[in-house]
Amino acid sequence: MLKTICKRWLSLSAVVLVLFGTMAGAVYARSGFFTPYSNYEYNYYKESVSAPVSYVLDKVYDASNMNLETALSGANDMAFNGSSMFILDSNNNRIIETDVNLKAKKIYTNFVMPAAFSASGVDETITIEGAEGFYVYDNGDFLIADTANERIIKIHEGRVVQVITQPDSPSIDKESPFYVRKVVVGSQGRIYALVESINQGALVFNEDGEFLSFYGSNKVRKTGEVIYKYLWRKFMSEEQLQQMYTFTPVNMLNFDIDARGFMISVTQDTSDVGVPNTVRRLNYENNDVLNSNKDHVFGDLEWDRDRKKVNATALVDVDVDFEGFYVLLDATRGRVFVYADDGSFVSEFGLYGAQAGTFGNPVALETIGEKIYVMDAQKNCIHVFSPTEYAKKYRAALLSLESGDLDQSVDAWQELLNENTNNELVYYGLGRVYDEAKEYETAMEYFKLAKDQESYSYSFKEYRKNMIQDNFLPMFIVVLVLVAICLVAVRLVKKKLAGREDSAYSVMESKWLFPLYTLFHPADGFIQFKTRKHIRSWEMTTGFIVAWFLLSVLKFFATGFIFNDKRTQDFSLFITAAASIGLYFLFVIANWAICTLIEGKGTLPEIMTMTSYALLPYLVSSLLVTICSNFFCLDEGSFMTIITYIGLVWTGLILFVGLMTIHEYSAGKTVVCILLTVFGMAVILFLIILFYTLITQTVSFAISVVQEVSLRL
Amino acid sequence: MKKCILRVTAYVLTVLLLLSGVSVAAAPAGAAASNNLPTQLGVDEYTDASNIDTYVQVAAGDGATLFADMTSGKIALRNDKTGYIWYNVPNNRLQDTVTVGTYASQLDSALVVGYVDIAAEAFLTGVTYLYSYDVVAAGKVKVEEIENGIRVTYDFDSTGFRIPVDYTLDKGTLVTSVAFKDVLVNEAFLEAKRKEGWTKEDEEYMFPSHLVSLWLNPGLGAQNTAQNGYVFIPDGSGALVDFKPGAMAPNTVYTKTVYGEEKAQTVTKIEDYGQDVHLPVFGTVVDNNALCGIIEEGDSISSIMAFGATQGCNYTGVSCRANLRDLYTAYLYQGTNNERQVSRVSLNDLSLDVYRVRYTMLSGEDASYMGMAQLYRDYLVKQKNLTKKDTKAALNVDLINCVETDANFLGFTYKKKLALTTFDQAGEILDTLQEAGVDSIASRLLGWTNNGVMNRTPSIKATPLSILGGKKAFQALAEKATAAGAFYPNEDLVRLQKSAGGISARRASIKSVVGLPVYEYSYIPSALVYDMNKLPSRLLSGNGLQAAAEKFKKNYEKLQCPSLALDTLTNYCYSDFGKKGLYRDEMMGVYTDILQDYASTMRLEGVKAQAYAVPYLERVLDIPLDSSQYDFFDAEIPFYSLVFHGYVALAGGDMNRSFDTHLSFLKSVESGSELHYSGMYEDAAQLKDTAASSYYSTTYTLWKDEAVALWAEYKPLLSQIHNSVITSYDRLTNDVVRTVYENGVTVYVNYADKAYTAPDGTVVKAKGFAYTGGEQG
Repeated sequence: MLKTICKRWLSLSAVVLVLFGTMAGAVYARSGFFTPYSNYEYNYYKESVSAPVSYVLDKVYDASNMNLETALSGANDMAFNGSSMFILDSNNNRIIETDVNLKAKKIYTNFVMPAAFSASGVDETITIEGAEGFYVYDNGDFLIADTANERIIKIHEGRVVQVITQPDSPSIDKESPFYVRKVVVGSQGRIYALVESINQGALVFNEDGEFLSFYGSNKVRKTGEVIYKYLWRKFMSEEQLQQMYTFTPVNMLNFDIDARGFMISVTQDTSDVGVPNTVRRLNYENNDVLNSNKDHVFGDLEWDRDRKKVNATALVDVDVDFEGFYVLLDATRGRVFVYADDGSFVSEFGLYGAQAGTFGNPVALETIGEKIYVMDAQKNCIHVFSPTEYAKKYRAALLSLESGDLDQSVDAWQELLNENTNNELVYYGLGRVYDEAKEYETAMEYFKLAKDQESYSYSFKEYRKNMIQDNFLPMFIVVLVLVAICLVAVRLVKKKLAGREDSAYSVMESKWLFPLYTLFHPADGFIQFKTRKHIRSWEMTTGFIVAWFLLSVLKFFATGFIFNDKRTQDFSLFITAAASIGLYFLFVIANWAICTLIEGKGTLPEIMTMTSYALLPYLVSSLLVTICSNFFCLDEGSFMTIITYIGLVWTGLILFVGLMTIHEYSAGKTVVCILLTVFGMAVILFLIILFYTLITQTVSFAISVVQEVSLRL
Repeated sequence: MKKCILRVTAYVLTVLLLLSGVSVAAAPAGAAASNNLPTQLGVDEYTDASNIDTYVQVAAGDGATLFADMTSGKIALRNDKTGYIWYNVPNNRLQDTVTVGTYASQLDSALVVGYVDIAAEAFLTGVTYLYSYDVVAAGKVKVEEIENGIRVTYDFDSTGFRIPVDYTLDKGTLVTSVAFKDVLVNEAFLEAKRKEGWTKEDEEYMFPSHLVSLWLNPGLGAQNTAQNGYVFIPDGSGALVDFKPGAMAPNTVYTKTVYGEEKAQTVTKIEDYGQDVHLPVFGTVVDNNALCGIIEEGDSISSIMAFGATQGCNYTGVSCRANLRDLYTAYLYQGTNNERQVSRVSLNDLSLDVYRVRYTMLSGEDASYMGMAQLYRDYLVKQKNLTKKDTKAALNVDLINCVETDANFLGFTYKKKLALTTFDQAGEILDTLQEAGVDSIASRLLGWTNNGVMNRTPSIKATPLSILGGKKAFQALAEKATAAGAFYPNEDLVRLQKSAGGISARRASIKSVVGLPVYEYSYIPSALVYDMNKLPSRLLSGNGLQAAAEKFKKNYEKLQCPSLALDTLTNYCYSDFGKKGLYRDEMMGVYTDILQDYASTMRLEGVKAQAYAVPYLERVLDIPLDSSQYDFFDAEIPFYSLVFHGYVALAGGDMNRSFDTHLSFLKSVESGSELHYSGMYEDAAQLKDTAASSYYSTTYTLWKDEAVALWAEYKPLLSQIHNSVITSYDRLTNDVVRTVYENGVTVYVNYADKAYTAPDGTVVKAKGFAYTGGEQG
């Protein structure tokens, strides 16, 4: 019995001991259901949607499990040279070399500055406290950006062998300090250094430390907004200017050299959300090959404002992993983003927080294989994340797409789809597979889900070709019949327009067919408004206006996918109605008001009916275009544009002639009338907006008064 | 005979040596136990007389003795079996040189009062705290003996509070309580003080304040870094913090509201993702002694407080706090450029008479989290009618019937219902699973009535949707599903967006502390701010909820279905700060009344159920299997399962949305939980770009094979342990855990990459499980 008591005590204490890991390795057998951060991806409309978890915390390393006596203290940088990981623990004046499992192998400290370089003339030990960046050569030498001492030093076997200080160049301001933040070595031993407050780019030195040139400057964004702001600045006061957006190019914050010798640079621009091209891939000619065809936005795309401060993604580090993916570190929310090397979004994870898997102050990141290592200067540890099955499959799929290797079977893509039916890239992949297999209809379905209009268009072309080839005979017959009908119809219309023997007017000039008559004879037609008043049909007038509204709605929903990527929820009834019915009334009323002032003879009903009848060509072309868009592919889009233009021009002509006729103006005066009408429309619009703003302000004031009163009660 | 005695002595000595080697216990084991007296360490000739404690015995019985210092009100509780003494202010504080600042004040006080100055309410940024340590030092404390204990009354003169805290010994447990009728505030305090001789001058120094919170005994059971043991915090599934210095951020105290953070406030930004506190129980384990606290009265208005040894604090401890009111921020003119933040104190009345916490001492084998789990379970059985429900181990399948999406007709947007699984198709799914070998299925229908999954109008009609097949198909499905295992159509009684059925969204929904209606938003996953494009939900207030529950029950009973799943009712705990609104404590009463009413005629299933709801349920889905995993936690335990397993059927989250299905499976085996999947019949691709896009990858054909395979693997074990209580849960190595059940089955789960051989010889394969003591499958 005593034996068993003994055993029980031992096992109890053993259990107690094993139950707790060390501070860093708190023992969590994760359940798979919980991550302390959100998991999402961006869809075609640049909105974040829930996505499967892509990376999870593997382990946390700190002094307790890294074979270190003293803890890391605000470590600034780390680098992996293929076999060892090096950590720049500058506040502790040391560089730590660890193996791939982050167990410290060797600690480099007490660097010696030989007499040749030192100020005192004898060998002296230096400290690298305050160094913010470093680079590790293949032979184990260190190149350290000794920020606090305003220099770059190269260390070989514990001794300084090269010192680079502020170069003597006319383009570098001698007065400003030479705070080197990051260094990297490129081809031919060239040293690239990022210096604070030098925004012409990175400084390039040759192997011997001679300053060569600048590299990789960011171009100022020459967008319309920038120009507009530039003009606006002319009118601003001193205080306002100080708060304005600057026009100097924003400097790179960090960089990395990838396997092919390109420099990947990261710029931090938090002036707005969605600033494009913050990550660039520069070739030796200083050209950005990543964003040359298309702008890419890296980081979070959705607008977030907290107490008037815009929370834009602030990138602080980049690493190119073994498969060529870019891994970026965002300091705004403590996120890590993974992008493919063509700039497309892959995954994200991470958040600031006090939980396992969240960051305190992430300052650097490194990838070893598929694992991502994030150095945290506040928690003084290194978080290691590994990809989930979903992320691994997704990356493999992306690589296969890039390499054009479509041997990746349908099953592999289907597997990915099983995990995430929201992901557009997977649908694209499936679409490509079916496209290669010549199953165009299925491919089209998938491309539609992938929101890829171009690919859909290609497949559609093939599909259409096949359709026509297969059903050539029936289609030919149908086309012949249609052509015959059209010819007959044209004949009929001509006869009707030709006028009857017993009357001065053709059949077309009855109330209901009158719009058809004015289509071809606007002048003769509209003049009859004055003579045969009963010819105006208010039913047709309202009919056309309603038809315009309905056709706008139809255009939104029924235009073929190739030309229309909108979703149901993007439809705004108000805007559609305003752009059709609203516009109509705006024009009519403005015109009537203006023309009363410049002796127009047209009455309001006449103007209304005339404008409405003038819409007919536009309506017909609009309908035609909407129908055609379902049968044309991307390259044939120009036909539709032509049809639209014909409709618009025809409408314009009828409108012009109509105005001339109704108001009995000369051509020149009609032009003036139109210009004044446009101006009148602007004035009316302005008044409407003014009143709307006034009313909403009054209403919100009333609401706020009510709120304040209710709070007091 | 002599040899025997020698041997026995040798064994005893070895045991003693081992014990002293293994633990630095304060009290030696054995015969001297019940003569141990509370002593204060570190007293020397320089110690100020006022800091010296002298304890006298005030109550004894049932293996416990209560001592108290009649000048300062400090108490000490002795476990007569082991002799260990628990102090509500650590007795080694005089020796402590590490703890500074607010931590020191908290440890030295038996009561920390949070208040808000009424006059400064317009400029409030936070709650201010007062420490009883200062009151004692100023001599404003009165200690008097009451039956079986003492009453310590603290006078906070500057803020106008008189708070009596009672410590009594009841059947060997310490009961700490605050009787609210004896708490004097502001006017009442002034009156009492005047009677006791306050002058006009004294009155000038008192500023009227609102009493916000009462933190009881922060230091009870707190241990410094030299001790061996841990503290148990009921965060999520359960977390343990050892006494060694850890990663707690300096000057912070872990604070989490029991039953989830208050929902009667509009949260515009998510700060972090964490788990809730589901159970109002906490405790400390030191070597082979433990103290377990259960909040008996006032659990819904409590917060669990914990601090860990860190920079500036040498102690680790856990305790609880009563939140009588709170300071909430509300946004005026939200979303506009004039957006302003205001802070207001909620001015609700409590329905409680007394706030009571019971501390039970455990020793020997029970001095562990397992002992605490058993203790809490016994408490629920005796006091909250927790009974063993007769359920059969099943595979839980959620079937998503219908979601509403936006559609457009001639330019007018309307809501269109998408039938994702009709009732007949649901039956098909069940048939497919059964044919494949899943012989017991507990199905839950989501979105079978009203507006589909997301409630727009209050859900009271209980009419099965016609696009899904209508009442006939529903009843056919009910029959089939009940025969297949269990059938729980889900009902969200709490949320609504618009008025309907006599329940007005405006009047029956809860209001925030500024009187504005409270909105529950959905959040943009990237920016973590509320999504302005999605219509938010409101929550029903007490009266509205009761009315809705009554109406729904009447209508539901017409369907003749004997079971029901309630998701929000079993998980949400919130207040209503409007006029005549109910505070959390009364709201909890509303929930329990409704649950009792429903449970009397139906079998209920809950989702992420809180402790107050579980006694009425027979099954709980989405139980917490993780803690919030804060940096300062040292280990995680499935405490929720340790308490409820065997009484109520438990299942984790849905496996098809886990980031590692195999890991989730092993975790379910570890805690004895059932497996849980969510699915629909139709292709989930049609939900892309709709509001329901978060249901990606739920089409049942995607996970059907995996579910069948896992069921086959797990069933032999699950059917044996399903109705059995867990008797122990231990972590044998970093990657291997062992769970032992009452009926003798021992389950080993191995998360490592290589096989493991248990002490009893069982070989557990890598990333797999094995069990002994029962019938092998």
